[in-house]
Amino acid sequence: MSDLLVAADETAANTLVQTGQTLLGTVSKNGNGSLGPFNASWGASASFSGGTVSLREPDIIRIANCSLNYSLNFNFSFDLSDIIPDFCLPQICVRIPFIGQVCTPRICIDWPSVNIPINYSDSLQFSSDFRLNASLDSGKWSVDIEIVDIPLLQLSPAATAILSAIGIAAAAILATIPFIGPFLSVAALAITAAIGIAGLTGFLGPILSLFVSGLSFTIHQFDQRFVILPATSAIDPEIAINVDSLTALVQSSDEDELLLEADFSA
Amino acid sequence: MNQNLDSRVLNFGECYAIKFTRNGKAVYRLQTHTGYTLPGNDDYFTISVNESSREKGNEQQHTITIRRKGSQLYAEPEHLEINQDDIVLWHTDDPAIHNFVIQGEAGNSTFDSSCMEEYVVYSHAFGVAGEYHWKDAYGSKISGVIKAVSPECNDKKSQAKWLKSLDRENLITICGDKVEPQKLEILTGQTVIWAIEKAPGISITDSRLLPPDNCHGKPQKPHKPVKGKKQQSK
Repeated sequence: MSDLLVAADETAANTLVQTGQTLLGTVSKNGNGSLGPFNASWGASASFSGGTVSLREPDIIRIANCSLNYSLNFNFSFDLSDIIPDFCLPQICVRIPFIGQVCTPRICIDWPSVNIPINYSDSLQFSSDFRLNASLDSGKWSVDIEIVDIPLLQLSPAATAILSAIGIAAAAILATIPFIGPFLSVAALAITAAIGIAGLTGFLGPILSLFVSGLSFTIHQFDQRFVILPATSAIDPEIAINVDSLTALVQSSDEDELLLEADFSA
Repeated sequence: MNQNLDSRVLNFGECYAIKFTRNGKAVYRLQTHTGYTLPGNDDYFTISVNESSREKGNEQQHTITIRRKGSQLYAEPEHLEINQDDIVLWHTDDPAIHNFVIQGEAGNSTFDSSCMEEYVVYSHAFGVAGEYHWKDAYGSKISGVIKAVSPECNDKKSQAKWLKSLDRENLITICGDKVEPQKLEILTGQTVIWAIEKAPGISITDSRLLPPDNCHGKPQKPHKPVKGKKQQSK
């Protein structure tokens, strides 16, 4: 029998999880990835909110419809010559009555490298099981819930939207390149076709998975030295206990409850 | 790549040519701005214009390419031997070279790509679609409109058709205040050639590059470039 037992029902567990989501705040990451045939450097930030908590024995908290709110910015650059063929303006010869024949030289257009920046923000919902875990670190007890499996993230709507944004951004950037006019629609189409929905899903998946892989919310924290009564005067010191062990679990009786069992010493 | 239509400074896709109607030695400099500077010791290039025994109409064209070594522009070849009435054309094949000007003297006359007078050609390849209202930045009455249209090329056949159209002759002649034709419609990628038979020192400049008329809506007074000598005349 434990020295102390604290119980929370599902409603209270919901509040605890929301506190954990708020405590986690916004997480940022960056890196490089493959965007279809292109490489892209990216930066992303994400936060979590909402969801409905249900408790499962022996130590599982299931969160349904948790929102992953993310902002993604990435740059991908490529040599336009890889997309559309280089071409040359031909020599033009004109006979001018008062000058004679003048010929302009043939000049070849070497397409430049293009950099396309994309910013995209969205949220998606996922459901997953989290395992309860209590740990002591530097004199502080933490009750965490840690994701059990990487959930399936529905990326198709985001991939479709981002691909469309890439097409629009590419067309706007390419339109400023001299001589590209007749190739513009072909080039913009070639870029989006080369990336494709599959390419974008393959790009987004690993990035967003980084935020959910090993995802952990701290739902409760307290000092190992737990003050029961604070000091009121010099001759009336505080009364505190040391929490020596802590176990977090789910117990089902007539109601599912999240339990914290603690043993303490004076 | 600079795509401004402005003969006062030359860029990739533009040419300046002049017919040398008198024999003698021509000396010219390459500058990256308009206006005159004192000549340095070795920053000039030469053209020897020899007396020609050729019949009229058999003139030849010589092409000089502007290149860069470090921060210095140079002409290739540095020296040319030509015959009287031959044409010399300057251009660059380096898109990274921007805003150069050819300025020189031939006997008692001068020539200046930023201020064109007689027997001069300026060409510009239009890479961006749009309506270009061009006029003389120095204030003469000459002006015109080029409408550059970008064709839709969604397949190889239409691209090939467009590429084939790029060698079309688009010639505008200028003599005094007369511009012929005043309006021209072209496809992007095509080159327009302005041939100047006689002019008081003009430029071909996109009006968007020039300051607007004054606050009362009156046209600006002409700003003629100050020059010491007349350009060569036939």
